[in-house]
Amino acid sequence: MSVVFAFLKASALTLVEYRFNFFSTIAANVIRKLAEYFAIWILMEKFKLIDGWNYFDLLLLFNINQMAVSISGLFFWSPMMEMENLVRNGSLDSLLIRPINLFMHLLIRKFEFSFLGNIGLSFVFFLIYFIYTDTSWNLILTLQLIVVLMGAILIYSAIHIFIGTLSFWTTQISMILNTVLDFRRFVNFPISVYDTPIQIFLTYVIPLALVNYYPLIDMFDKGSGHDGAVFLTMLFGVLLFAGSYMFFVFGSKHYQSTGS
Amino acid sequence: MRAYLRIFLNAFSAQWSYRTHTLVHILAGIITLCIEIFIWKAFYSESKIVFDNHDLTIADMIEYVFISMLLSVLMTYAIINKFSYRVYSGFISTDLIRPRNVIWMFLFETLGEIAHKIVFYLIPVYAVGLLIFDVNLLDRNFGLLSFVVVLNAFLINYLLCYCLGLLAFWYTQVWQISFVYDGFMKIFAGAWIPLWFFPEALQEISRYLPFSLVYFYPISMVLGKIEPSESTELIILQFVWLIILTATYRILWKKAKQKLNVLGG
Repeated sequence: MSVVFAFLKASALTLVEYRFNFFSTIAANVIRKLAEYFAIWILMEKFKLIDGWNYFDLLLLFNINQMAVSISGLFFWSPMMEMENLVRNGSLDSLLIRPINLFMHLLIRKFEFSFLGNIGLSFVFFLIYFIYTDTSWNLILTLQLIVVLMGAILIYSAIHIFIGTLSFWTTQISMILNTVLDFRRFVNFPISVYDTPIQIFLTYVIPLALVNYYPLIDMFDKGSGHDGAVFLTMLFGVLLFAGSYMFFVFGSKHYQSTGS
Repeated sequence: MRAYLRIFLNAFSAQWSYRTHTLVHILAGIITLCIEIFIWKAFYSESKIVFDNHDLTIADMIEYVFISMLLSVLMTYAIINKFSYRVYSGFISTDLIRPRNVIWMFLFETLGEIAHKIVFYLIPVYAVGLLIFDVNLLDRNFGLLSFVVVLNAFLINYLLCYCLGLLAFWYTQVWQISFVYDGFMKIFAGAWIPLWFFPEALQEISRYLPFSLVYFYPISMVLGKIEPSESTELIILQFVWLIILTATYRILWKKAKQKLNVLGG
């Protein structure tokens, strides 16, 4: 545990050293994200409804997606983006010989603090949502929301880990990771607006619709046949996370350095 | 002129070394196209809003998305990152000692990158887009005035980014500016949401800013949603902004050269 703190301290010190860079990066992220929230407001102000969803429904949908991807990004984005470099220049070997679990080590080496701004922003928008909606938020709904968020974070984390692990075998993984994460833009809106092939893709191939769409339909009884989707999100989150972690362990066992 | 042509061709072929990037961009472009078009379709199926003065059909909106994508290739903000990188690394010193004007060198480099993007991004994305969505862009009557408006839009965007890039001389790393700029153009310049749908107050504010002259007005012009009388006004406004930006760039450039502090030896 003390090792974790030592690493955290080191990361924090790096930030203090480059204060201007840190704050301007966070500011840039937040301003840009705010513009996206704003765009949704502009659209809904004009059109009122999209496929039966009003502004606040859409805000919740968008916000769950944003928060899940930012929180998993805080932990997994930079380690998994860096994997390909570590493998290519062989510095992964030096991590392997240290007396600490490789996976943990990769995680605590570098936190992507620039996501903190986006995480804070999504907290603010959750508050705005709770203040301005008169949905009777009881204990059950709140608990359901927390379960969905945890499941969603696990799903995004699993995607990061699974693709990052491919670095053990092939190069240019960071580009694949970026592309797959790019699909998250689809689920900023209810997937029912898209054609069936896209819906199938987002449900079965890259199951991003499980992050926010299906559980919200379940929570607010928007459609039939989705009972229990809240727990399905959690279940899939746990399964996918465990699966990709095992894949990572498998990959690291079969890793043969770059030689020389 | 031959030197500039060389820069153009070099920039074009330099992009070729990022082949996998190209694939990623194509996919991202297709995602954007799909999301935007399906969202307009969803909005249109529910509310039958008649927009003041403008008869906007879903076909118009789909064309809006396609034209916006075409313009997004021209309206590059890469110049901000170029300055950020060159000042940070000190390469700017080599740019400065060349017997050529820096703004023209960067312009031809940018044009080379745009040419590459047209061939290896725009055409593939359009090909897929036209397969999925039924849209006929060639029906439009692209007049000479549309061409002028788009050209001015390109120059306004280029000068705007050039000025923002020059800030690198003071702050060294300015890539964050390009990140924000991209987001702002997408939303406040009308690259995604046309200004027709904005609340009145925002429309009013945008009249005093150059951003909508880069995306919204040129797209409306190509779509044929601007009256001939309005179009002259639009072109004059664009020229006014071009003059303001040229003056700004000259002042900044002069100060930047005095300020320049090349790191390392």
